[in-house]
Amino acid sequence: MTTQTSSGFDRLEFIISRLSVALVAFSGLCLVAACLLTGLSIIGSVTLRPIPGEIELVEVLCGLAVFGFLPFCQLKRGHVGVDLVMSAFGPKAMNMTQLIGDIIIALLFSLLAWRHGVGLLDKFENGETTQLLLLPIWWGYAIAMALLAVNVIVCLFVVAADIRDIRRKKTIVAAMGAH
Amino acid sequence: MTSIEIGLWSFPVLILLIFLRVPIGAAMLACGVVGTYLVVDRWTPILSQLKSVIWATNVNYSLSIIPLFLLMGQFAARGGMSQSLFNAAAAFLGHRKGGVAMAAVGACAGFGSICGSSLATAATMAQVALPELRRHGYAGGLATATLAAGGTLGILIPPSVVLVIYAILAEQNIAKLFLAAFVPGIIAAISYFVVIAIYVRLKPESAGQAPRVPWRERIPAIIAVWPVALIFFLVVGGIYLGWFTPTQAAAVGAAGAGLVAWKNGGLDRRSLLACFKETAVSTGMIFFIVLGATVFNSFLAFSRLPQVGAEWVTAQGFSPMTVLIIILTLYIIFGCIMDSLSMIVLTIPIFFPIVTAMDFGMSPEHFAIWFGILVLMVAEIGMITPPVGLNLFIISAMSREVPIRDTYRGIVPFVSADLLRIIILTAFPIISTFLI
Amino acid sequence: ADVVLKLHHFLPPQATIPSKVLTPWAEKIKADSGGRIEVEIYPSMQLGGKPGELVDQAKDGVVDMIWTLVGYTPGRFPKSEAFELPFMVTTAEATSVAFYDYYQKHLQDEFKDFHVLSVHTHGPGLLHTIASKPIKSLDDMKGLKLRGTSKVVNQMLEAMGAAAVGMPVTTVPESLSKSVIDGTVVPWEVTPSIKIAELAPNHTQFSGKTGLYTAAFIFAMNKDSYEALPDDLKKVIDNNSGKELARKFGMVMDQGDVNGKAIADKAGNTTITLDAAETEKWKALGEKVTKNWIAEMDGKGLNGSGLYKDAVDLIQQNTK
Ligand code: NA
Ligand code: NA
Repeated sequence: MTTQTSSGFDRLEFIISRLSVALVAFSGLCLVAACLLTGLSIIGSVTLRPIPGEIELVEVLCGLAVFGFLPFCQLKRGHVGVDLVMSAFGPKAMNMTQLIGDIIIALLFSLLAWRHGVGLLDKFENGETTQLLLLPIWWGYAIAMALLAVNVIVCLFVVAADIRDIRRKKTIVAAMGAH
Repeated sequence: MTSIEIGLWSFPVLILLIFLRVPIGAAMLACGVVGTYLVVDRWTPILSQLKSVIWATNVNYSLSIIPLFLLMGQFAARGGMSQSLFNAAAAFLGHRKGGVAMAAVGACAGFGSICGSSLATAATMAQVALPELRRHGYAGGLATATLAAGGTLGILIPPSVVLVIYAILAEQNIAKLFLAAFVPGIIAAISYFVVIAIYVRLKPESAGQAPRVPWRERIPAIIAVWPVALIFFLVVGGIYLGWFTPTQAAAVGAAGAGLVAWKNGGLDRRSLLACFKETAVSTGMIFFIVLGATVFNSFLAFSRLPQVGAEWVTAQGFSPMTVLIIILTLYIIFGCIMDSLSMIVLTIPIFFPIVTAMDFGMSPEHFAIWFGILVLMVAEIGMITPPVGLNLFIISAMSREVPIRDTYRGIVPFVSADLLRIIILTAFPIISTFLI
Repeated sequence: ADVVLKLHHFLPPQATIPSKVLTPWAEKIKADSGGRIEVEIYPSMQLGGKPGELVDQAKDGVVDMIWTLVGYTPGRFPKSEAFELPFMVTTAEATSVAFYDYYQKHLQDEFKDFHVLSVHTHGPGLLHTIASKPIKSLDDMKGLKLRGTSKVVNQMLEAMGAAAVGMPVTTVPESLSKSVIDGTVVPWEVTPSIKIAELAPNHTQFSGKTGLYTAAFIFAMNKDSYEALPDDLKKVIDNNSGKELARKFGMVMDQGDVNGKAIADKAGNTTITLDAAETEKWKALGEKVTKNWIAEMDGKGLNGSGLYKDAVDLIQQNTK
């Protein structure tokens, strides 16, 4: 991506995109780990015993995967909106509403990250653990906090990228998630 | 303003935000945060809720099934399973009138049995089937519409992400819902066959024909789909027979599909990362919608609107069937402009208490399952109704030479078949409940 | 009403505690205050969150009142766990009153974030297993997959040879019907709501006065919500909270146990009562769990043996 003419912003874009992809890989591996753990627990269940705390481990692995997926999702403008009305007003209106949406997302994730941080302090102080393995909940909260912080950075970057694209009169392309 | 009024006002505001293209999860979250503040007149409750809501949404064993199902679908797409499904279906159906399109629908149904997502099914099968359809002289609109409609089988035939969300919102058994969805899903596939058969008879110029495939080639083609059959049996059979919890089944299915893809050479490091990326975008979007809906629904509960609304509807003395038909009609209208998942997370917490309080002459569990299937069907039409239908969009994006107008025109008979099917399923609940 | 108080809990409205204690309590508050206090009850986590978040909702003032299981937030109220140790509980009534006394003596600091209305326990919890896996002796426990209800109970099941599985109570019926688990521990009171008589028709209880385990509950109010009340309304709340409310909770739980047992008997279920000699074997293993717990408390500087002894004494004093 970096060329001889690369500006500071392009370099930032490169770093942000590498970081998001790295987190996607981390999250994907969390999912693979959850699959392996489940498989081992099922095998254990018919032979000896299920893996202790299988459920709490699987839900934490999958949950952290979701936290890790969020930055990439936002970088690809994966949180899609309804185009019905705005598409009638042309690409300029689409770009402006994309910017508005991304600003709202950046604000909301900043709010969520701040509150999650307060929640992390709560969990750190009150010593809450998981039911079976008695793992401190704050460990998970702390990892999620780091992932959320990256997400906030990506959200802010996307707002900046929107503004750049609007200045350059480029159409902003949103990804389409599947469900 | 009373809290009920605040609750009511939140809907026009929400719709305005959605029309301004604010992503639905963000719109619901914003309305929920501000709404809760207005209803209780203090910031404390909502700020306190936000301390744990994103953790509780993401780290939730029932919802862990979703990224796992999405990953399974990605692996299945890379593992050559879509190609072998299409080959098998085409070997049996290709030589008929409209047979290649029917084969595409059949392959969609097969792929739907191991993929929980409508868009992923449409996109995956389109990669394989669109070139074949065009090669055999199918008109652009018929080809794209067939795949857009066929894609909905991804969610109508279990496993299905939308049903998982419904099961969680309505507190119903996922295994039973999957089982109940099976026959209506098969009916959907058959009705699409019929639509194609009629279409090509009315417009013979819109479709070509493939040569008949001899039996000695059909047998290997059908044998080649064994991984799909195996994974479907492990996942849906395993849930139903009680070998696995639904989340375990999704993990086993993802692992199985991953192994098949790896064995078929479709899963090097690069494509593994590509699978993760696709899963990331879908997962991020779905969980953000669920998060927004969680906060928005708790705001509605604080406003007491659902409770008062349910009491009001009951007091009007409408017959249960009238209420049901109004709700289904609303879904079809919403579905023209919204996507199915957002619609369900937004409305089930409001509609479900209203209809469960009414007597439809069946057990609460049977009713909840029947209603779930009906909601699934009407919500899924939204994926293929113009102007906003995500399946239409994704297929159009993949076949730029076909104008979207043609796709819109081509989808009309499929939507009509869907509407007819919904009328039948509403009139005969037994179709949805007899396996339970 | 001058004051509207929101009471949030996780059970459906028709369950024993909401229908027999919380709703009548809300009505009594309304009557005693001359209609000036209205307690709005929100069942089934309607206002959002998981059951484990109820304590924070009361602490932070998301809602005004909550009723919940202390064990939903393991590690957070360590001294309360004394009542969940093996072979402590007698009847729900006696144990609840004892738990209230224990709260007044030891738990003021643990519950300092709340205005506690009352605390209580359920009756003797016992083992329920599927048709093919009756528990007639300690040997039958080996390798069984049993759902536990709290940290201490899970440790106890593991000590007795079973594999403890954690899952929400709502998924128990399905898991039993498919033998994903071989059984669960719950008191009789809970059995009808999760179809135990149908799905796990073997019940194993013990000889002697004490049952296998119990669970601790808290009924609490947000501190600011309480402080904001005028004195006369505070008095209405005070008059309706405390030890007598704990006794009421316990009595209702005992009655629920009788009903649950009757349903199982009517369904032709087998209730196995292990004889005194066999019970002693279980108690010996239970003591290990108790010892570990005491050591754990000592490690936290909490005088584990003193707490344990007080809990035992209070239960015995209150048991007729
Ligand atoms: Na499917
Ligand atoms: Na639509």
